[in-house]
Amino acid sequence: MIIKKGIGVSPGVAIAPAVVMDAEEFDVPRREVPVDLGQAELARFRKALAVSKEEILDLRDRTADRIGKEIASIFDFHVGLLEDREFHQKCTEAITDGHVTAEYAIATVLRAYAKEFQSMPAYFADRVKDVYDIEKRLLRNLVGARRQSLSHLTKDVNVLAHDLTPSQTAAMDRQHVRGLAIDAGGLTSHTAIVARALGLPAVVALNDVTADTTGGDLVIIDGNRGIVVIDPDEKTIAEARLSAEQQVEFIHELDALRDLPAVTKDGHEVRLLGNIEFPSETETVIEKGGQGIGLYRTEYLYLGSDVEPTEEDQYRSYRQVIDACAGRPLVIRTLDLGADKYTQARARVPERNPFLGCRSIRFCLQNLPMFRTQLRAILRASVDAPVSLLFPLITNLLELRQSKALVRDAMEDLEEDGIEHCTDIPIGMMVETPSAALQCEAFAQEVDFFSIGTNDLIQYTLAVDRGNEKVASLYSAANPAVLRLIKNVIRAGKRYDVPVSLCGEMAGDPQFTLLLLGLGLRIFSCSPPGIPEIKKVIRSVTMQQAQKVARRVMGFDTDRETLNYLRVERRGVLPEAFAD
Amino acid sequence: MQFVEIANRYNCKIEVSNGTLAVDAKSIMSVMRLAATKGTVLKIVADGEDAEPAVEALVDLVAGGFGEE
Repeated sequence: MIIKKGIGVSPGVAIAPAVVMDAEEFDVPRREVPVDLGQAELARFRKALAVSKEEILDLRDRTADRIGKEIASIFDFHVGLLEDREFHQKCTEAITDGHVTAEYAIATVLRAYAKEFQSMPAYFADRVKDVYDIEKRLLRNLVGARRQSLSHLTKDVNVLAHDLTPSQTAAMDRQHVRGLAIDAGGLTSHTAIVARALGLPAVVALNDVTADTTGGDLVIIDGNRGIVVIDPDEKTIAEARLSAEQQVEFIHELDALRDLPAVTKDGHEVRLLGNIEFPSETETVIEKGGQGIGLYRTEYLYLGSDVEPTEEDQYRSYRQVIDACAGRPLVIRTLDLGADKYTQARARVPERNPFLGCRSIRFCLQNLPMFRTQLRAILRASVDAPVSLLFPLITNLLELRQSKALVRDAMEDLEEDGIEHCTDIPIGMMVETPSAALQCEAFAQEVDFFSIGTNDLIQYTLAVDRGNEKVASLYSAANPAVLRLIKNVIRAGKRYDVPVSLCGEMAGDPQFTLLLLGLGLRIFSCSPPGIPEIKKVIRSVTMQQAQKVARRVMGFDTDRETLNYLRVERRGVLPEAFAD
Repeated sequence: MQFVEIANRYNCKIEVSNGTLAVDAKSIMSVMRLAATKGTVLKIVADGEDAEPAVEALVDLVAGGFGEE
């Protein structure tokens, strides 16, 4: 039994066998495979051989066509090696007798060959790089096979990885994935956000959990305590089961609140909305008692597939959400691709500082055909539906005006084409940079609503990369500078009669609910599983209490004072949720 | 490469040696281990039904300079 400590980013306890996703790297740790899984490991080995051989034959043919047979013959050695019986035999022995993973068997056998060749005459020494090339290909195919398997699982698993990319999480089989644990990451890393949205227990910043785990190991992911237990003993399993049951009971208890309004004890109404990434999550929001969708992220349309989605593809997805909302309000955010959310690989030259680079609205304004396609799809889908349009990462007025002009253009085009579309869609902007927050009075005169995105606002205000575990502790929603910006936006919204919602992770964190209410926030949008708990807090307090808390907090100079104070206050409000 | 390819066409067991080391002629990785270059004297031993044509074919190949030169 090994216990690893990380940061719990999504509550709950999951007990399931592990699927370990390797990073593509040369350091292949020795991992034992249980005796009864030896055959499965052998099958993986053979499959990797077959796939690699096919790839090389294909490569050889194409090279022969394009460059010539002579050059293509260098691949003969690759094929020869893949077919080599001694190589097969050595790997098979390592797997069946040594009980190691296919990756480890391949790496050790091939490296032994490479070492032998190195000390031989030139022709043979030159083959060393071919051997390494084959190793890389085989390992990539082995890992690739596992990656693939995340979308076609047949039984429940906990997923362990160095890090998960948005495209991996988007393709994940959500029926069978029970929990997530990753080596990298912080509280607002992509994995953390997805895990909370899907209600999956998750632990991040584990450093080396993937090195200590072998696929198939029983693993407990405890998102409440931020630990992962590999190969747990009976007692630990029993405790984890109990904890998981209690969690479920607490959630059921909260679900009873579903049909009750989100209103404070003294009658102040609050709008409680859900954030979604996939159309299918709409139902969860409604099930949990959300009054609508405060943030529909549209990136998955692009990340889930290799080709750019067409206007029709997008139209269908938007319609699906609109129909599921059944008359409830829906805010569609335009593409927020880039930085962490977009493969830099697609950029011609990788950006040196992607978070300060061409991401989000900037990316859209530089890729107008793509942006127009999305705007058209949204406008067409939102006929007769309470849909609003939200632009991300606006940092200056010109960007906002340009974006709004593009919406008008799209409307005119649709008008000319005689296609039915929404002609009076409310347009809002995310306030997620200090520049937007500080200039919000000017913005307030040109938008229909504000949505505060705290995740980016915190990162840009405090200059902290939210995905870097070394500085993750500096990332704090309770930082006085962040709170002052939030207060500023809420106040400007009130003055100019522009509704303000908050859709960052902070909205779903019950320790901040009192404070945000007190600052005047009346629209909360959080991940669906968080809705009942926030509602419970709202229903347990008076506005007077909340305002007192806000006044007190705005007088503090450090986030520590704020967090300590809020911890005491929240215990008084909802003791059972915070029994830690 | 060709050497191993041809060896694999026969069912018999074939061993090739450079005087100090004898290896499986059907495995490219073991044959590589001989570090045989031009001028190396090779001894081919085959055992099995089609041993004779196998050795003949391999000797032809080596004597013919692998059809390369």
